[in-house]
Amino acid sequence: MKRALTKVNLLHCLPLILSSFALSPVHAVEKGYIDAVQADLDEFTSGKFEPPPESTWVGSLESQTGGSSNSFNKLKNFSSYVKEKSPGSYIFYAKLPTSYQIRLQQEYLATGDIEQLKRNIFKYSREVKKQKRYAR
Amino acid sequence: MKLQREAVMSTFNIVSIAGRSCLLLCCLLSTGTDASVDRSLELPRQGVTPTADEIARQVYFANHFFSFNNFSIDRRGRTMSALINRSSDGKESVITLERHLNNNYHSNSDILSRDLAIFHSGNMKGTGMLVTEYVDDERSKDYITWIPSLRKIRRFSQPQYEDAWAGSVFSFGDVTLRKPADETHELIGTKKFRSCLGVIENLEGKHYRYVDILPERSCRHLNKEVYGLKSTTKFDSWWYDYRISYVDTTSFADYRTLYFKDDQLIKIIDRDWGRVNPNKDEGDPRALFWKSWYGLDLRTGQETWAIVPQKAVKYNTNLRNSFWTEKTLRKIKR
Repeated sequence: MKRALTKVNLLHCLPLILSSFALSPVHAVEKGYIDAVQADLDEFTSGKFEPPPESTWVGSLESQTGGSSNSFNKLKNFSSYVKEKSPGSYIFYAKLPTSYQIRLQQEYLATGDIEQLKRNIFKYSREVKKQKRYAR
Repeated sequence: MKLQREAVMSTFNIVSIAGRSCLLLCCLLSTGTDASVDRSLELPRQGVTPTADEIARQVYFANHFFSFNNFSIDRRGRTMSALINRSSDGKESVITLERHLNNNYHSNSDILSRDLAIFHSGNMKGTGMLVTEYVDDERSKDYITWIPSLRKIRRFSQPQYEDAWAGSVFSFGDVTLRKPADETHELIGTKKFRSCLGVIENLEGKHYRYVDILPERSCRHLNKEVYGLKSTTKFDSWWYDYRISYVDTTSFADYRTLYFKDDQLIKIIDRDWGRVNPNKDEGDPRALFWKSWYGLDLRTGQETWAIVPQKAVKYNTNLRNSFWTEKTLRKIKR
């Protein structure tokens, strides 16, 4: 009798349990993004950029001086980015002369196309190889 | 009888969907500037800060792709542009399309540009839209739609500014209808752009049907010099009082627009741009293409993310002007 009641209760609750899975969680908009947007906006009035602490949406404090951990304006940051995004291509990238690395950086800043960047790394590697061969 | 009713209902649905979605094609058009701007607009002189009105006109130029004879966001296999809508309760929907814009009309022509969009998924699958913009600023745009279930063409009037575009965060005004004359512009300063562009966070960098891989937040524009352009609406009791745009001082790409009502931030639109010519010293710096649009409505929590895969972008192709006619619409497969 007791076992039968338990079965009934479970069956009774089943729709409720299932519906709790079916309901999608309310989507919360990333607060860090809005804080970063607000900090960026405030700079127009205050003349000073105060990034929200530990935000992944802004540059670090280096931004005050023109650099930024997220910014690719510095070749060092850009190189780290290439290493992170495409370790295989980075092997070839690292062997390129600085002038080619700067060229790749400028191209990426203009287009934002990572696939094109990878293609160009190999293209320039071949170019450099050829130049070395002719130099001999 | 039943069949007739179904046909009428499906027509009605398509018409309403078509009305909402004109934008997609227009998305490809522009945000806020003067229709009197045309392809002859020159870059401001170097070393001289342009006026707020001039900046607004340059933004319009860039958004209308006036640097190109024609500009297409085509389809390459299963890769094409996608518009992802996410409601505040987390429900997602997606619309995909291809789009072709033509600016190559003779100076004697009364047509300024034509924009063709063909939808490939969702309720609008198989629908085609052709939008004609005229040189005459007073003349409203023509919207012609191919309705696949009827296999017929229908004409629609220009949508309202505040209508949502394809149910997205973007309004028709944001995307295409707003003109500089609708607002007064003020330059509030020049500074560096400090924050990355928005994305729907839990989709960032993930594999996604139609676009291969969704992009990650774009931080490429950090530390670029931008103008702060404050544009106050001239309309009474409007849904926003003013908006502030971050405009690149070199390319006039508007990376971000913030909308305010009663001094409260109510909406954000971010746009990621790429340059056609990677060498910044060559060519027109305004020759740009969209990589993505992100919109967030802070009143409702709704988000929209439009992604344009770079490999689907083509420009200055040999397509003839006859491509931008009803004939092409009629050729769309059911």
